[in-house]
Amino acid sequence: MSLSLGEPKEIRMIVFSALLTALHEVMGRDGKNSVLRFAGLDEYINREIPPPSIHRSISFKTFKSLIISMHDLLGHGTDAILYESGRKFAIYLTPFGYSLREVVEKLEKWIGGTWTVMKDDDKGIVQIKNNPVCKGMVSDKPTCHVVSGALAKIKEESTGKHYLVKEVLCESKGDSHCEFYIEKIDEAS
Amino acid sequence: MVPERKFVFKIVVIGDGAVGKTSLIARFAEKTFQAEYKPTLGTNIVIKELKLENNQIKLLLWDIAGQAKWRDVRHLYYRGAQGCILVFDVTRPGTFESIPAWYKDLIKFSGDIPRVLLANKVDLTDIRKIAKEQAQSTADELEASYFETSAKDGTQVNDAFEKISGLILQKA
Repeated sequence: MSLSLGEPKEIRMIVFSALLTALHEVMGRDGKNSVLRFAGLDEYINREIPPPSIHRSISFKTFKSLIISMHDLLGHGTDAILYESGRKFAIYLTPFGYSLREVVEKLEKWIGGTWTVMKDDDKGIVQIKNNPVCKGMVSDKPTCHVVSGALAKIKEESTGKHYLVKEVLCESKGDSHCEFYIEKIDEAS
Repeated sequence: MVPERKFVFKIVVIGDGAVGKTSLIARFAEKTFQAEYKPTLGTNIVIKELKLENNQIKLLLWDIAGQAKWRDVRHLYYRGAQGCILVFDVTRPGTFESIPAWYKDLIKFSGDIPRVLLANKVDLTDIRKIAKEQAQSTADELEASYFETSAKDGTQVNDAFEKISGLILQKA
């Protein structure tokens, strides 16, 4: 995947911090360092993760380098690690109890793009236009597995039920927007 | 002339803690050896490019922590693997005995993928506890190619990594 920056933007530090913390938890210290090394973000290797802040920012280029490195290193042949990282990311991003709509509003503010909850019940739909997560990526399959995992966890934390999220449209494969189907998992099945 | 082909292969390196997984990868990828033992935390991923026949291969070598505390997340690391290197330490019989368990754990998530078995630390001849015949027999049972390696002096390390790459290439 290649990086096409387009308009430079900033990302709130809370997002970067939550992503690194999630990565640390899923991949361990050495796994997180591998991703940072591959991303060329050596200044964060073996250092404390920056504290979460909604007042400080990192460059969009730094955020994209991390996302692309995660995809290239961890997404080879599987989306499981990226999805799981997304679930952990949601935990560190917002305290429990926020609704899907509330968290989506925060994500729009902190990451950018236009996030819309089209439907929010046991079968939900979320759309993102100009999605910064996959901006500049070119793929024949959806690539926003971190977002899918995050939406699943957000929905679970606000309802106490289990959900599976599937990205059905993705800007990285030429669709006009990214679209996620959120479906409750039938516990009995 | 056949045009050059490019591949990316994910290979997981597994086995008990302190059998030399990290050292084997360092020997292969960087031609270095560090005697001091530092346990891997989670997984360390090393990239090594290799030319095999007329193919340019990028290896993603996943050095997976052997300690039990990582058992819960290990299945995530196995997914998408195209090849596996199983490692034990010839001076510690327990690390050899756990090889079938590692293999069983892996294939639940990776499926039936090419594999090699490495008997590591063969330079420590005076304290070797596992005989070649014994290890070869386990390799046969696992349908794995077998190598006697030393990350310290480099014995058969390149051969083992090239073998697993070749086996994956045959399936590609």
